[in-house]
Amino acid sequence: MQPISVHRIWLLIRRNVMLYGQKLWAYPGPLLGIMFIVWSMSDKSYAEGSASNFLNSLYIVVLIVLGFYTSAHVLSEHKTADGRQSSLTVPASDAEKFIASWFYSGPLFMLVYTVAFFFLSWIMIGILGIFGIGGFPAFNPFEEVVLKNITFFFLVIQPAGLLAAIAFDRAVIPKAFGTLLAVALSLGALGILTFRIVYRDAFEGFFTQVGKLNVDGANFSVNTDSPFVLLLVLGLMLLAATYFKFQEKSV
Amino acid sequence: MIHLQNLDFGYRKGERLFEGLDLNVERGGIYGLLGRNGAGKSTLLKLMTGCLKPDSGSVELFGREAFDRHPDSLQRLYFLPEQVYLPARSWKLLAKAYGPFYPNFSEEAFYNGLETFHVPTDRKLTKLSLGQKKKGLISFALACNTELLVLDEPTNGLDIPSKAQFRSIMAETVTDDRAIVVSTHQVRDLAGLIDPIMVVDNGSMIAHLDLNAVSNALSFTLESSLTPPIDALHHERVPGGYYVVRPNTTGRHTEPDLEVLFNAIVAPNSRVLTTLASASHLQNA
Repeated sequence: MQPISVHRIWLLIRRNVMLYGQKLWAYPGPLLGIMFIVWSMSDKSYAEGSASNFLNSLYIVVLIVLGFYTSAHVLSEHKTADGRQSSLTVPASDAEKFIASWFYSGPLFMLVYTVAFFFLSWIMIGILGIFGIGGFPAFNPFEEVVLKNITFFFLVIQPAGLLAAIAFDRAVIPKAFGTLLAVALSLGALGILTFRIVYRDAFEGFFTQVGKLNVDGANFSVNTDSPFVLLLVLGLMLLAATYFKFQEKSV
Repeated sequence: MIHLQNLDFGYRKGERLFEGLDLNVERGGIYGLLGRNGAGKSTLLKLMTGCLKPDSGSVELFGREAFDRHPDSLQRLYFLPEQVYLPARSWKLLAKAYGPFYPNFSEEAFYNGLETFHVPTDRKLTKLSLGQKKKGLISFALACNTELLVLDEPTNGLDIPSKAQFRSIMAETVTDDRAIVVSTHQVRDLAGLIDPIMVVDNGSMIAHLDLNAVSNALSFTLESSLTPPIDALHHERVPGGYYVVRPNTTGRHTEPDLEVLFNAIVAPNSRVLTTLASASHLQNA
């Protein structure tokens, strides 16, 4: 059983922030700055609702891209033998190192990014207001669509990034993206196969129509929780794979 | 501190680097780990510190399996590898980030070490030379005040004054409750410092010698002869004559030259090794 000490996890997070945190603080700023400049230069005649959608979409896209990047780089020490040696001999258990990496690239990244986005959105609204362009709603991180994507980030994007960081030494981002794509395609194929088995009569390949599912007047109950459960299982599997890979890591 | 028992290890399947290797490291000495290039000195240190997993056999570090990398074991040792990894930060930040993991870490001792070695403290670590990085990390290793220090080729990249400073610091560091394991192929850099010595060759530990026992059994002399001595256990041509190793029949102690001793040990059908083995048997009897 691997020992877990909160104090050592705290020291590891502190170490990550001190030595590698520059990236975490540095990238969201300029990237968001550029995106807000694009926003401020675009057509401002949209209604309040579409402005809100714009902010949500912007938040989600940057969250996925930057979050994936941060997760895939949090274990960057492990890319070289010298770095691995340095990391493996830090006096903390593998479980503590894994938890610290997860916390750094997950909750901590999320907090820093969301706070930065929130304040930048206010700054931009203020700047636009100076030029007489007003009436924009502030960014609200608690909107359903945002929360759904945050859940998606924690269940898929971050675990995939962490697994890629530990599994690949070079070209982490493209390989991780490829892995994610492969997982998605496999799941999709599995879904189609299951669908083909269950709804054989209604299955017409690309021409399948959902309306036809009501075969022989039978009513099928729809479980709306299933995507979440599926993603949760996928996320846990990715995290477990990352941990075991981490534990087996040697120089 | 470290117990290796019947250790087998190889990087590739079917290729054994170590086979049935046994080794014990106890407190109170600077163990010199010697071997030819590629003999597996660095690999052995990585196995000792839990950075590599043995194929079979056991590696115990402070009473636990080394590859478990238990924090209680890791905080009692500091491993300085030959190739160092440093982030693009300052020494100050490095001390703040890593120091708290070691219960006896002294920031003051660390900065004193940097000053002694004349390591610049105002530059990014990645901008320093290999020697400066090594000296900085040696200072950090000593400041950790761990029971066990494992140093892989620590004098590589060090300039001449730094080597002398390193020797004197090491001599001050070793106490009865600590141990230092130093792997090197530059044995002259560590002459007068390492004792005992361990020689790795052809996948096994061929010698684990206390230098006092070596002096009891062998004599080391520089002879200004033009022809090689016939009665020597081992001889080497040096400017002005021969360096000769003979059985010590006089009981007078001579300082062993580590480089000559190493060459004598790893020589095919080493007579020095046979003599040392029989002397050890006599002593035990």
